[in-house]
Amino acid sequence: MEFVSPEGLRLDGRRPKELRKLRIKLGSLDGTDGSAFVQLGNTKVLAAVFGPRGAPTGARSSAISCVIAVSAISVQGDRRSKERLGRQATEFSRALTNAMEQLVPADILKNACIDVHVQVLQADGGLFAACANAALLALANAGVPLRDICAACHTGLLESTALVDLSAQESMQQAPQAAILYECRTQSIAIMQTDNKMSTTALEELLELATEGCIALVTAMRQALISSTVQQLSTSAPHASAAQRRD
Amino acid sequence: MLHKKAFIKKTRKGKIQQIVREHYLRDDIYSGTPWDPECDAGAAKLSKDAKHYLVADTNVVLSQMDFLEHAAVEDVIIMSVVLDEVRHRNQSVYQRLRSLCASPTRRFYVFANEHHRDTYIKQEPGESVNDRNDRAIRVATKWYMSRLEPASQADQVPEIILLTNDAENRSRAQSEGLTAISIQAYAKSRTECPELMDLVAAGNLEDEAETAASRAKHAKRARIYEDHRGMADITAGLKAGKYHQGTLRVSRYNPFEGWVGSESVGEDILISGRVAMNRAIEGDAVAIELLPEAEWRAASATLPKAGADGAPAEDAEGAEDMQEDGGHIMEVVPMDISEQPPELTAASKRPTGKVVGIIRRNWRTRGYCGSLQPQQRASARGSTASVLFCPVERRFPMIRLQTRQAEALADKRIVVVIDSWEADSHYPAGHYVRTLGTIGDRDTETEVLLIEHDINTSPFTPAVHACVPQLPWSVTPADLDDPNRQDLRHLPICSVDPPGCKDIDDALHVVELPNGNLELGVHIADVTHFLKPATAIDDEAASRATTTYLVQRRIDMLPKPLTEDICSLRADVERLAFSVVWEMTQSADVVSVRFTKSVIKSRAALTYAEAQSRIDDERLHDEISNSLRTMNRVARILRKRRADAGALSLASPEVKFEIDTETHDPLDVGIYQIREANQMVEEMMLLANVTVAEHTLRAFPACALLRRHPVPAPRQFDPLLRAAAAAGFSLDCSTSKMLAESLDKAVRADDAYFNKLVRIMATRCMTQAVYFGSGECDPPEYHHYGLAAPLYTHFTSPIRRYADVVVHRVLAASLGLAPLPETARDRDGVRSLTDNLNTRHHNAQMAGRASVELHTLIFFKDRVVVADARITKVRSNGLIIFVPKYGIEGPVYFTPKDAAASAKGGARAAIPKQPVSAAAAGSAPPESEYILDEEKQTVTSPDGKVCYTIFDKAAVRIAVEETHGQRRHLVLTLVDRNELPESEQMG
Repeated sequence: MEFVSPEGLRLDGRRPKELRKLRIKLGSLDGTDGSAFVQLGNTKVLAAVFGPRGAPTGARSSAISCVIAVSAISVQGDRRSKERLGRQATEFSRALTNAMEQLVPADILKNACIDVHVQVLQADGGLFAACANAALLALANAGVPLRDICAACHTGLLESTALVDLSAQESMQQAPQAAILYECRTQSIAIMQTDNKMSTTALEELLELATEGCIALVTAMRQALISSTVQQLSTSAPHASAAQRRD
Repeated sequence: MLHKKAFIKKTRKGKIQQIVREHYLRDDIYSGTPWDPECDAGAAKLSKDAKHYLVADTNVVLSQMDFLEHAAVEDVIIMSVVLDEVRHRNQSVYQRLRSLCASPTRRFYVFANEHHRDTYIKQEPGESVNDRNDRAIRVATKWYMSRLEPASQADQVPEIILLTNDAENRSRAQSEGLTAISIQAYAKSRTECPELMDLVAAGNLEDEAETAASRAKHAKRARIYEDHRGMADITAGLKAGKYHQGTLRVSRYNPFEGWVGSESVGEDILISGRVAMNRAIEGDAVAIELLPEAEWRAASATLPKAGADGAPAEDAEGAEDMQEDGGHIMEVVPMDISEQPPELTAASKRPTGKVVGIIRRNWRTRGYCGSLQPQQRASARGSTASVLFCPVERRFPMIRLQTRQAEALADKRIVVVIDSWEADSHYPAGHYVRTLGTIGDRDTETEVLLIEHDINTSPFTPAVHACVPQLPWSVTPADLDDPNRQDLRHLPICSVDPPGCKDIDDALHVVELPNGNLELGVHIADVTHFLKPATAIDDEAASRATTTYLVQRRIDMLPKPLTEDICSLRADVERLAFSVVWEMTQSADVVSVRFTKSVIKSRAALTYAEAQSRIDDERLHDEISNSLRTMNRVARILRKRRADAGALSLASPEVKFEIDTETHDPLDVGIYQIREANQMVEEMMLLANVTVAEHTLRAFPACALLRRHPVPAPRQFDPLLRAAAAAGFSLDCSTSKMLAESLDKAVRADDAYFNKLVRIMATRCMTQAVYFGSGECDPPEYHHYGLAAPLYTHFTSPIRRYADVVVHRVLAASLGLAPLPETARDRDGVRSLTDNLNTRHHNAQMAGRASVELHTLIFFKDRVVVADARITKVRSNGLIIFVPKYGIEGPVYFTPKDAAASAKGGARAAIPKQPVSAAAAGSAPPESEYILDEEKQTVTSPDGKVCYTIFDKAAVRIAVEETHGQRRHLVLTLVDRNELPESEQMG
């Protein structure tokens, strides 16, 4: 298999350092405190945030929880591939919950709890990145402050070429792969998740590329947040002025 | 960094599920022509001055690679849709096309039309994939035309020509305003380069006019072969057990007799005759059907001779075909250890089958070397003539080809590729690729044998040379300061090698320790210090895998500065080494062992003869001589120990040429002399290899590179046992130890050479030793049969073997000096590595033997020699004779009739003073003139006067005969032993 042609194109026509097409839609779910739809290539996920709200009575180990669920329609194929995806989702849920406990300031979570639900609608590689980004955007949409602006990105080293944002076809290979959740301001990695054997030099190369990818994603995500906020303000502005007039 | 285009989803139907993949279209793909104003000047690979740019379609690429590879074909645009199709249909053509596109000297440009916004097209409903791809090529061609903009009025932009042999595609292209022509038409238009026409592959891709004519001709011609069954039919047949599949192995002696090893039948199936073979050739994966048991045959028990399988004449035009079988006469062949000759009694019938279909062709893309059959009528100069090509390797059939240069090629060795084999043609059709040189010329013939054995002789690329340190090179202080590198310069190290050896990869030392024990060291050139993984030089070395030694030439695995200087452990210079150092008692029991990278300074580079005389000369008491003697003492103990464990001492008929330094012609030839010094060095190397094998396996149980020698299957010994029984001694092949012991007992008082002859024949029963990864098989299978060692590897020759390089890296990794190499980490990596090592190793050996054979021919060119010989096989119409002194084995025919018949094609031999058996009176077939007794391994003349038995002494006259088939042959003739000079007698 030739994952990067000598002309420098990947199987789907991207160059090694190109992300897939990213689509973000914020606040599309009613009845939630915040929501985000993220489409990364053919991977589609929907995240919803409930909270912060008063903590229920009874002890809870974690004030914030993040649950990723894989929908039945997310992937075609046999039972085994769905089960595998399910196991991955459980793993990602744990990691994201962990990361968010660190990212959401402690005072917000005092006597309060936040539930983040991510639903995978369609899976085509880069699941961790899509879920993490959707969860982060939903939190922002819900108005929950975060310690840093973050993004997640998936990379892999195929045939000694570092590729960003692997498609399902690419991530099926037994090749070094790394996904990170990156905090852009402090320039630190919140979560790193790796697959398959790799040398330290390979890991360094992947991390460098993943960081670059995260920065690009953050730019796009920030843009989406700003434009959604602007839109919200412009649609709510007439009401505000009307209210003023009434006064 | 984000560069996104609107994208279209491409759907591909899998087995059941639908796979959806993204397909991005871009606007940053350039056309690669300097005429395109938008194209980046650096990316413009095509020439500005070209008259035309060529666009090749998939079928042209698949069938006409030789044409495209010709230097006169330039400025070619390859569409990515073509690349994709080629990759799916033929991986080796794909590799060739890729290297063509990557070559900086050729102007081949790949245009990713599938990802360009303006050239991507969707499959229309009702349109087949092929039609869609053809249309994509046309759309891209059209786009190219729109890109070429003349900068000024005077400029003439290149014309874009679509090369396609599909008439429908051509007419569609023309209606769309494109220029489309067939490859034949294009080659014809290039009148300045007539050889292009020869390179155009034959087959069913001819011009329409010619096709019509040939179709008419074909209709007239009778079908010779059955049609091959379709793949679906074959699969169904295999499942039902009606057909069997396997790889065809053609007999070396007879091109129309072969064997298919089939698991479903359990034994080899005989395929006998041209029709049963049904156009399959050596190495093809075939589907066969067993014939009814009544039609089962035995393998031929006679030596093949001219006209043995008569091809029916095709028609008047095919008259020259008649002589082709005359070419397939057995000639003197060198010893072949791996060969299993079809030794069968006339009575024993074997399962016989016929080929019904071909699962996978194994036609060589690198081509077949050979020469043209001389033509009976001269063709007009420059006109296209149909000629037969006769490959040097007689396992392959003749090939018919069209050429305009028949006359010029008459005395040349050429390379030809097979294109197709139609059912109505006796021979496959092929086309000319290139000329190697004049027949019989030593360099040409050497080139032939290198190509035949697939040995890469191309010079190292600049990228490889860039990895080599500058000369003069010396050990740097940094190397000395390296804490992992021990300074062993004070040790009395010396090397012992054959005379003239420049790539010295091993050196030895032994010193007495204060506690009375011995310190023995084997120092191996530290090649991996210079050969870092994942560099150009490492990739090249890995693909070459071994240095090939020919009689007069060496084809290196590593560039010369490394091979002969920087790595070579020469005398009196400091060199880097990887050392194995043992502490052992005086009785050679190992106390401890350590491995270390080191710096050494060899005191002397000795030849075997020098080392031997130092050992033998008791007056010498210098450091080196003393340590050589100690080493020899240790080696004797070790050898004894190994022999007790059951190691075999086998023999090979190795010969040594003395080569004239000026003319490079062989001056003399003789048996390679083995001294005790050789065995001493060998013993030390064995010890080092075994020690390293044990250590690396302990460190990496799953990925150590080892070498094993499988226990031969009992039936492999059958020919030897039969011969032994006839000769009146017994061999026990149950274990290597029993075999070694019974071989020791096989002696004849009147023939000192007898024992060696038996050993040579025993060697031929063995399987080949192979490299493998320790994860590949179970520990009991690691065993090395010949050495009687449970573990073995190759560590001691990293300059000339890549396996040793890998073992060095694994050993370094086990010592924590370097990470484990990437390829050694997983099983698949190790498997592909060892597969290549084994093939290359085998090829290099075969090439070496072929080179010996060639030099033997050159040596005997102007000589006629009478030499001592032994009978190694008896057949009803002749004998196979082995000449120990020259390592030659070949046939001698009994009847002048056979001999005369065979002389037509090549070898001739006759036994003088034999009554020409008119006694047979024509009633009995010629084969029954002599009576073959398989049981006793004798053949007796009809009158009972002469009787030949296997292992008998004989004498032969050796001469070279040149035949019209343009092959030179050694001809062996039996002579009376009285004619044998005293000096020539063996033993």
